[in-house]
Amino acid sequence: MQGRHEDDAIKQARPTPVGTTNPETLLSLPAGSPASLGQVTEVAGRLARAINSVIEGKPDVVHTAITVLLAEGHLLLEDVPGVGKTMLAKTLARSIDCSVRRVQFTPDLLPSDITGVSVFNQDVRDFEFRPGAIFANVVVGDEINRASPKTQSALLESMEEGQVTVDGQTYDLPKPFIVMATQNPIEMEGTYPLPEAQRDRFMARISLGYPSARAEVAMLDSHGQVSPLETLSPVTDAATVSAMVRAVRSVFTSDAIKQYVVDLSAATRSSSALRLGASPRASLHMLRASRAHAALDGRDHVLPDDVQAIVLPVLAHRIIPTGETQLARRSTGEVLQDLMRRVPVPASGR
Amino acid sequence: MSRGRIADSLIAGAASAVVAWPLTTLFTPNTWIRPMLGMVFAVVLVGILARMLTTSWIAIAAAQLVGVVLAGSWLFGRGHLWHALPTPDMVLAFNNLLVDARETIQNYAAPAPTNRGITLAIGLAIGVVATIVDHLAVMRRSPALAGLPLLTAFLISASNSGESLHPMFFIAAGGLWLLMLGRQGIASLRRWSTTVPMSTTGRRNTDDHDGAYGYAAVGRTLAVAGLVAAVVVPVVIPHFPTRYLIDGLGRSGNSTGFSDGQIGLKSTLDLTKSLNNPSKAPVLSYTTNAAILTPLRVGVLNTYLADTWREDPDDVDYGRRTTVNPPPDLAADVPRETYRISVEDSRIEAPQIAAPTPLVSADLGRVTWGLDRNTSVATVRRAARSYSFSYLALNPTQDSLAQDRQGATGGILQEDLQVDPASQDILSRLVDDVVPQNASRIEAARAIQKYLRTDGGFTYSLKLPETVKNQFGQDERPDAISLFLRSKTGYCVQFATAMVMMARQAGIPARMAIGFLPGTADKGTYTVRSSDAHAWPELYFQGIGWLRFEPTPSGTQNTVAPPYSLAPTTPGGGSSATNTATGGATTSAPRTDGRNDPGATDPVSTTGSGSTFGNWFGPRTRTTVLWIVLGLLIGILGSLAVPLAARRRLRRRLRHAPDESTRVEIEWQAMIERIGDLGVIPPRGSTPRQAGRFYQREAYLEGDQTEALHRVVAGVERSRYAPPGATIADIRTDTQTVVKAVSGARRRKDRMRAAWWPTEGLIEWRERRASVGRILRRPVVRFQDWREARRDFRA
Repeated sequence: MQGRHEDDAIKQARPTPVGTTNPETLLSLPAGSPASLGQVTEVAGRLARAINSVIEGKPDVVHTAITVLLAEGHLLLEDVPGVGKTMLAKTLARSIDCSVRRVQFTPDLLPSDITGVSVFNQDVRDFEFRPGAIFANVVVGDEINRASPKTQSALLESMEEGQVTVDGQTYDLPKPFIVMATQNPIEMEGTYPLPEAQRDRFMARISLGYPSARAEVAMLDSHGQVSPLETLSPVTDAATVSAMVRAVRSVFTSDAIKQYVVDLSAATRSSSALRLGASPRASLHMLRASRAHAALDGRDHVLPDDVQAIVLPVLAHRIIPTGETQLARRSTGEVLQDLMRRVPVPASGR
Repeated sequence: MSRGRIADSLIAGAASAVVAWPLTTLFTPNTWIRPMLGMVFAVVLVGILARMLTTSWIAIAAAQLVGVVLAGSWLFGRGHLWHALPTPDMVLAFNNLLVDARETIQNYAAPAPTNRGITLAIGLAIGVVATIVDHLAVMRRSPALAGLPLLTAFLISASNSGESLHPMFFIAAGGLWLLMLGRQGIASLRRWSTTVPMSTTGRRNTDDHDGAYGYAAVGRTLAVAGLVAAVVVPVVIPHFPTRYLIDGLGRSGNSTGFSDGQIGLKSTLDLTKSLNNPSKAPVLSYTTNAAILTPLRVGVLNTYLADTWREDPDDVDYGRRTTVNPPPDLAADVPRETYRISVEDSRIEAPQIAAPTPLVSADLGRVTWGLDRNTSVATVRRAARSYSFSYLALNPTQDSLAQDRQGATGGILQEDLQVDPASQDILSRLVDDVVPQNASRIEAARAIQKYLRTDGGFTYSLKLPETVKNQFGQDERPDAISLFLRSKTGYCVQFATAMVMMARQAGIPARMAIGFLPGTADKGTYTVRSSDAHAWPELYFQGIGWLRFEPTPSGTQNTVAPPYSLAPTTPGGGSSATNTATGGATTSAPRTDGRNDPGATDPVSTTGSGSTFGNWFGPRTRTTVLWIVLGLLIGILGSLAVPLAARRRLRRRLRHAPDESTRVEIEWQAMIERIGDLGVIPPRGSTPRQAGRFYQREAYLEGDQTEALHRVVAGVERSRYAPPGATIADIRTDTQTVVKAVSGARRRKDRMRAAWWPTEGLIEWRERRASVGRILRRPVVRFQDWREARRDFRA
């Protein structure tokens, strides 16, 4: 009861959109029932179009972001400053009519700022829970590596559990729930880079990279006067996204595909080019992301192509290359491509 | 620089030059070596430069050949150059030089003198060999194959030198060849990828051409090709001449009895051996002033034991005398002519020497020689290369022959009247038949010769029958003389032996002479070749001595019976006999294959089977046709074996497939194999979708073909990954459409390979072989199990 009440409170705190210039109308599904695959592709297409209107020239990144959203994962955006990490996170959050919280991580941020705190209510003479920033459908954690490890842990724990425990009381987080954290790999002074164990909890890492020249010109054009984010109206709502997530869960995965996922993980573990391979959690994330990828393609079953499409974003931030590999200037992406060529595609597992 | 492949080119050039080394035994002096090295160097240099400029092998080989011709022109055609380029005159000049070379090679026995023609011919030949070797070893990177031209060039020297080569020649050439092989092997090893692992499915990787599979496959292909060639070539070409080896490497120790460069007739004769095609190697050449040529005798054999003429102990008084006493038993009134014969370039090895009989005087230079006291055969201490003899050509008259006069009987040995006991029965019967009652000795001898030469129906053949039918129609293997007299097939040795034995049976002392026929004339010079080796009987007539007879019909050898051995057609008709003999000698030998001789061909034409088919095709032709048909059948069946196995395997697997999805999987695999046979192999680890995209791109599929491909890919994906219960469509026709479409976009060569050598078929055969192997190993495995069980039991 408590959680539900607070949920509503947060929703009210969300700023309402200024205008509805977005041609897409809000598509809402009845809560509780899984969406059909056609609906999944339709809604995902609207989402992608909406985000692409703000983040120009990066359709692959947007597709991966939506995949992670539908696969119930969390997204780590890692890139140099100013390429639109925060903008992507904010756009995704804005495109969905749901509660959004943005947390700017600083060294003095406390765990209770994330999770919430119990305060004594003089009126009812009892402790009352004041939910933290994490109680939202979409949480944008900006520059997560600037907070102290203690605060980082608080966030990551709730990410994993899907719930928050304060003073012995457990509060469920709203569904859908996605954390989009950004991180700057260049500026290292005064930061606490996420340890490997923490990075493992993010389903995928995306690097946006610099836009192409044309996309950059277009960006100057569209962002010159007023940010398109200001005029973006949501194209779907939380309930619809939940329904889509349920639809994704029902996508069929054959034994062959499961074997393929495990083979890929095993290959990273036995590869001589890698110091640390993929964890079983990575296998799980791969499988879920593959399902979402298949669903976005309108298929009710996963293909090896789906797995291959998500291997790089899902695995690249979890594996650590050996010194030799680094010396040879081979990126983790190249190592993974190489592994995919070597691991045979399963023929049948049924 | 690595594109030029300098080291490999130099080694290949060195190998080509080294295989010419044994030619030093064939030509002297060795002035040809430097031009030859120049030609090889031109090939190597042009090859290196051309490889740096282009990768087209045709261009490189053409440039190398042009380099050879240019180098040849600069070396041999100074007068025919225009700004260092050959003019059309050059062709004529080269032609003249090459004709010179050919004549030198034909006319001289090794070692032949080196002239400009020889130098040019060797240079051009080795230049071409170097080009081929360079192409195979350097361009194609298969030095193993380059061994073939190298070996051919080497064998040409080895087979013509006529003597065993020093091992050094072979070791040098072989060493360089091995060096090429070794370098190539190391290069292949270095190309082995270290990042591509073995396929985890246990199937072979079709793109692993550099690995062990590549070598094994090449080996297997070579073995199969060799086997097929070994069966098909003799079948399709029934009588492929074996001269290449017989004339060369296989020369020593065969039944013609030549060996070691120097030529010697074997002093024993085995009547049971067939003769191979004899060599055309020159033995000697001579000039003579004789009108009627006489064979040159080398030796005489008196003793016949167990199918073989044995050598008798000699008794020679050696010296350097120039005059010879006439035979003591030659009566003074026998008509005679004295002729002279000058022999040049004799290659007969000591102690044998070819000489006419009987001798009057001799000039052997510094060579000591002598006559055997018993047989008056001339022998020498060391080989005489050039010498001359004067001899008597006896032409005894009818009267002197018929008289059987008494005189000295020197030179008859006890053996000269001994008849072979094994064939005595048939000999006595035959002599009773052939020789008229109360015939004189000369009449008897003439009758025997006439019987063997014409009347008896004998056939001249170098190939002896193994057996002969007896009166019950069973195969029998009697002694050699009986076999000859009954089978009526043989060559000079059999004819001569039969005549000797029949003469001895008739009471005439007779012996076997071996030597050479007069040979072939060319502008007054007669050349005697190994193939002129001959055997004939000599019969003793008192008052005259040993007289030569000629029972061998003039088949492949142009044998001429001496005039006195022919029965006179008119009384005192010495003239007609002389005409015959003269005609035979002066026309001297266009070598027919025995068809002109009635005795040789008549039996064949009369013994042919009576049916019309038999008339159209003789039994031999029929056998040949049968063999050809059989060979073609085997060839067709063999070429169909792999494609049929492929089809069979696919059908069987489809039949045994438990469900629809397995069937789809089999169809998909078969499609990948067949397209792979066409040379389109998708990258490793491709998903069906990626493979489909790859095929579409590589084979330029469009329209319906693309749709068929999409249906195939979708069907495979559904069958593999879709939830259970999904409907799976049959992709059979679509896979066929795709394979056909891809096949249409490929080259003819790929299509042929895919049709005749499908991987699926090879797998089928491999599995067959493995299953046979399992069955064969089963007893061994059982025995091992049993032994282990017993050991366990004891323990």
